[in-house]
Amino acid sequence: MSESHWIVKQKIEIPFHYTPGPALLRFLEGLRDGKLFASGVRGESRKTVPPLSFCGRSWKPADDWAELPGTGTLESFAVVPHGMAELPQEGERIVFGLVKLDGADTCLAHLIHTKEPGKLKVGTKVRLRWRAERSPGIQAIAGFDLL
Amino acid sequence: MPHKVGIVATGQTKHTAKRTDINLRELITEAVTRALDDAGLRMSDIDAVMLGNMEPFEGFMLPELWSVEGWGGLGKPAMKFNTGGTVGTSTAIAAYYFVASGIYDTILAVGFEKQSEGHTQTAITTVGDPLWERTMMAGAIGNFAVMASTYVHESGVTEEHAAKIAVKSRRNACNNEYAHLQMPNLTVEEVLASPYLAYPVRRLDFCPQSDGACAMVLATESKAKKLAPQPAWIKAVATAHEQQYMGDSPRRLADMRSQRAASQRVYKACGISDPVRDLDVAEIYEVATYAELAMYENLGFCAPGQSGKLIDQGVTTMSGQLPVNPSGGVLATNCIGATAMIRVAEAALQIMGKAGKRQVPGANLALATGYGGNAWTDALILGRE
Repeated sequence: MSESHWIVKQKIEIPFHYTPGPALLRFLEGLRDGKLFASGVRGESRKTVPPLSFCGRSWKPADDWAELPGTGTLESFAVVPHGMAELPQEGERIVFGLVKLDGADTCLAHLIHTKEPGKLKVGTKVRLRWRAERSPGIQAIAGFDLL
Repeated sequence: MPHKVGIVATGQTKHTAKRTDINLRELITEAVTRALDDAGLRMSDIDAVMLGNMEPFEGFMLPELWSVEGWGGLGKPAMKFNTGGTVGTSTAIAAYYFVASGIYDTILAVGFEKQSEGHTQTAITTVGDPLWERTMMAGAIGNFAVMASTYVHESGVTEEHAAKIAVKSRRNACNNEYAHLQMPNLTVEEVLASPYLAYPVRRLDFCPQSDGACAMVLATESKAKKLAPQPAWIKAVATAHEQQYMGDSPRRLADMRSQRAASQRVYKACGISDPVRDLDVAEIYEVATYAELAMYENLGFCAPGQSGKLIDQGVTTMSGQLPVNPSGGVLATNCIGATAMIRVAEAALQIMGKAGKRQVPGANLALATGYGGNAWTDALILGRE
């Protein structure tokens, strides 16, 4: 019966222009320059990455900046059993991870490079790897290698 | 019986075509911070947040998600509204319901839109019926022009009448530091010389596309009296819906059934029999000059076919008997998710006596409306008592 059902196909393209604002602009410029920045409220220990210009918890400006060393801890991950043309990979699988960066209280989502994803554990220590050619975006980072 | 509810504070951004200096979250924070400062409150004093936005005009879904730190929603009861042009009034009315019912004492209502990041007309294209109307009359302008031509032919309003509305709006906007289109020297001739977007609507007959946010604090009677020397008391609210194909209602502008229903309901609740005499000021949601003229009739400001005469006589100008849109209205600023809330906030400023250069002296009773979605109307009456 399915051949008797008509399907009308349409396509809608939605353009999008992102405005980073002052805090994320500094973060993007840092990525371009090979530096990783976090921000927080002065006098408070909490730091977020990517940085916020304003903390919604204490309702204060988040203008206390810190440069992070690029090491961190794997908090969560997913192993995709095939490659994707858009993403660089080592081995046959792609691993996405949430990495809690040393010096920050939030996680950054990125690729985890390993040839043995079966051995990954929550708590694995990792280090950020920059791309040789960087544009001001998240792809300036190649991903994280296991320490 | 609902508890008495007062608007005690408002905050707006400087509305403009493109706010490229800050992101969406920061835009919202700007308006929210101004409203909190206006009330002398901290975010911790707010019991719940009502949020209004018309996605995906920003180009993506659920903008409230990653902007949550900017509107104070962390850990608080919050609801989001998405009802088209009425979204700002729907959000304000929801905030009113929560305080009037006794559920919360102090509520923050926020409306926002950063249209420069997405493509509003693409999003509006998806509103029409996908098979029968999307290809023929997609987007706001053509859709509106079709409605307007019926009204023009039935009511006898002229292009000059419409141009006078355009001039009134952009000149009033010069007294409003938050307004987007401020054109102190705009003339009727210039409006008539602007090109047609779609007959009968010219470029200067239509609203702009703005980035902006608006926030208000609503509180119970006892709290409102402590927070503001003169709260803007919400006397009545009404929502009237309508849903149809374009083809079902060619007279949608000439006979705005939802606008008649909602306004008559709030007038009756407040004992208003002659709105031009009984109201002191109106902030109405007019997306185009012809909409404002049609709304004069549908809101009962004049008899059918008399709206042109109303603007000719200056009844709705700042010095007239019932100033309409001292802020410049939607014709001067349209940041969609915030726009209808701006009508309420501006009406509240008038009642609180805080409207600055656009103040209508001694404003005692004000009407605010929202219009849109699929020809829906929200209406609120605010007063000093």
